[in-house]
Amino acid sequence: MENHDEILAEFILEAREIIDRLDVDFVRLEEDPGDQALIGNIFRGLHTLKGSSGFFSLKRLEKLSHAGESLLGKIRAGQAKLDFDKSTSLLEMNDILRQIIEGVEASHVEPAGDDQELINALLGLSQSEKVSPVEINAAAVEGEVPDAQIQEGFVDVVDPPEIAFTSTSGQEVVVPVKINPEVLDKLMNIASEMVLARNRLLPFSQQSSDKLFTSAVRSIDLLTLELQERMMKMRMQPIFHIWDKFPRLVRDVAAECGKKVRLLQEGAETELDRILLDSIRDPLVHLIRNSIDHSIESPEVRLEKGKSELAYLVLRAAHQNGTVIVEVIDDGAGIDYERVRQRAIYRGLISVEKAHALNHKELIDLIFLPGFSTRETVTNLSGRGVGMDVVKNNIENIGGSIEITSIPNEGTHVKLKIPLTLAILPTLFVRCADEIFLIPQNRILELVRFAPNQPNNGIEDFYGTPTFRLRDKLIPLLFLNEQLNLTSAPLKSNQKLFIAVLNFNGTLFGLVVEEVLNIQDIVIKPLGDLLRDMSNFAGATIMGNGEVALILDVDGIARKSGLIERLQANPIRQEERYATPVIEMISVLLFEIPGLHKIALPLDAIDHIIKLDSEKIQQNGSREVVYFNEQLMDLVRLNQYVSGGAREPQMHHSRPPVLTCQYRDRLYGLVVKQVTDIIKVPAKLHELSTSQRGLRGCIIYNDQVINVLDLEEVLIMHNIQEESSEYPQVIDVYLPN
Amino acid sequence: MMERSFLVFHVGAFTLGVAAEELIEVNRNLGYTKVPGSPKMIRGILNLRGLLMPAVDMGAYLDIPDSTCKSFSIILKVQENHIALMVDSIGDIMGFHIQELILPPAHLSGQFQEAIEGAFKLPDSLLIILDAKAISRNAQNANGTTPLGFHPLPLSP
Repeated sequence: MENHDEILAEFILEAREIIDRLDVDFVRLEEDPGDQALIGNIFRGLHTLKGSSGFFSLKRLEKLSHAGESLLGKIRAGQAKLDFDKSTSLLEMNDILRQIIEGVEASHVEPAGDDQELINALLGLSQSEKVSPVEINAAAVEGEVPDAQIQEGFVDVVDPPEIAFTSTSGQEVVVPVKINPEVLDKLMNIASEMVLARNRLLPFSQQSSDKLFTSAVRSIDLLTLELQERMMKMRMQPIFHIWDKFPRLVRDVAAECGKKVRLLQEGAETELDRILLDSIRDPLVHLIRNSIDHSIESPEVRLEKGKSELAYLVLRAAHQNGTVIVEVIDDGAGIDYERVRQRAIYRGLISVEKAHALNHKELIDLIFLPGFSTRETVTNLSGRGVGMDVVKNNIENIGGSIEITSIPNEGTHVKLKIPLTLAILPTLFVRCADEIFLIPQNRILELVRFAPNQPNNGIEDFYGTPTFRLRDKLIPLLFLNEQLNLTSAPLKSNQKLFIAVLNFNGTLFGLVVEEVLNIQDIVIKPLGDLLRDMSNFAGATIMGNGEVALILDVDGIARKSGLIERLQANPIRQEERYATPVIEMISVLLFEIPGLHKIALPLDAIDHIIKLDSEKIQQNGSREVVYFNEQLMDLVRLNQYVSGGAREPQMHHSRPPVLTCQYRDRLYGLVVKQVTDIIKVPAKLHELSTSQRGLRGCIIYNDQVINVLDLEEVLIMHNIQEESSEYPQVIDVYLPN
Repeated sequence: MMERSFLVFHVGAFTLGVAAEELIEVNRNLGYTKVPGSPKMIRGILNLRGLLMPAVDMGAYLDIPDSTCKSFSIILKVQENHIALMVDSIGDIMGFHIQELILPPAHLSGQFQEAIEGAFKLPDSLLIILDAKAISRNAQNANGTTPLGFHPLPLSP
């Protein structure tokens, strides 16, 4: 019996693959009804399904696939032509086939149901006078299609689409290996531990003079790196695993809206971590629906506007700077900015005066607010109460970002930036009651330092909730040590604490910690079953020294604290909440260089912050270079290019922080003295009256002047210097504008 | 005659044992990280070559007052879960015939009844055999900050 179950499970797997494939193929066939090879593929797929279902005596499945096969047989023979009605019926058949398979999987028995109507429709369409009695013939399992595509949740090692349906008979096919994702995760874990163990080994080899030992260590070093790299690759899956379903989706949504849309997919082979792949599926579906439903016009309107009747929807994926960019582009009407403005006013999201002062970019930001929907009536396609705010949240939860640009009558362009892998997360290390905790960096809006024991500490009591007055907002505070029931040492009179301003479902709150240490990329490990009820923690990580540190679950802490209920009882008017996106804020990294203390660079210009061992710096002619991430990285000593920078020949500490960034496809490392903070500041620059070398301007933040680095100018100066070995006096000539 | 091996260890004045089949290794002075808000018997989580696992303070778990349970940890793998038992000191691995196991008295209740499989006679004392599965299960019960002995514990699924 067990054997039977196993075969059945295999059949279900295979049937799912066939059905998924059919979805795609039917839509493709509709676009190109003459494609004989495609018809052959579809026919063979259905035939296999029919044969196998006969073997398991799944009658419903068999009858239905037989009816579909009859229709396809006619089409293949050229006696009938695939049109909209036929493909709709066939797709409907496919849906029912899928339901049946799901039923079989759940209960091992076919779910009850009557398909006679559909069967009649299919047979009617095939215009056959008489249906031959259903053949039941187990031997008719023609050309077992190898399980090249593996069920969702499994990672397939062999590239599927080439093998599926082509290897019907004759040629030998190497059976692809199915691997349980858990095994992969374990291997991944071991590989990262190998890297840590190697790190402990390396110092020994550097001190040792034993040639054999050092060469053995070197090969371990190389092998470990390669192992880790390959493990990373194994977790990656091409994005077509989720795109596969989209041709059908686009067809159905377009048909329902009465629009004509052709879907183009570019870069379907772009690879992403499989967990990320799952989490961008729903946002993408939503974006595609939005485009078809809201942006793309009906064929008549398009013709009036002088556009082609057929609208184009482009899905594009590509790797860029260690992130994956996924774009959804349409050539429809775009965003109606006036409607957005009216809507925001109507919904009370913004005041009338403010609304009229907004530019296009700021209006787009309004779309992401909770409770915004431009449709008067909720359609069953895009208006499910799920707004763009949810899409944005989902993307941000995986550490990504979303950007929309839209030109009226030319279309909308949505750009998602997704990290390559979820396993690595930038976090802020903080200290509380002598323990180190980590806060995911993407949740932190800003960090504020304050002295609680000073008279003007900015803290006010609001119905029993301590709140901090930050600019013109009131921010409720949670003390981390109280939330975790830790006892901190009593505060000294002038001791300063830090507030990490965090966002919980649109409500800002501050988490008070004793010390802010540094920001680091970490590998997340689950806490495991035994501690799964600890809602204060999202996971743990192993730090470089082998110790374990806990990652705080921001949402869990906020929820558990009861803060939200208290705020609902006595609402603080955090009205600036809605104005925040309107005053454009940017995150900048604050750092010091010799001679200048407050220099900032927009955070998105920087890829990594690393600590560089001085020994790793090598000379390439007059340049200092470092081999980093398998690339040569130019080192740029910022103090040489910025006005006010002290002319120190060498930084005094041996491990200076280096900010890496990309400029015109080259990697640069900016050497700084110290990285101090990440803050959100208004994007508005105060121009300098006489321009200062290397600086774009300054930002006033808490009454302090922060210099904003002109990265482009610095790098241009750096490159000129390299060419002429002479310090340029006039560099404006080289600036692009 | 079935013989089974047990790892012997000490907590306070008690001599205890766990089945050796579940034993992965014994370690000394492994650092652990406290988890605020976890049950008292969970000392924290420790890192064994990249594997995170809870460290159970056996003194607190068995309510043995004069125990420190600081330096030795016994790493067990219980039904796919790793768990570390923090104990006072480690003894030998000893083999016993199962027939010699003395079952615990019926009036033990709660946590003790579940955790104690029985005892073997040693020349001058008793070796109390603990059920690692029950410990692992009880360690999962997060509301264990109150003494566990007096209410029925949920069975793991």
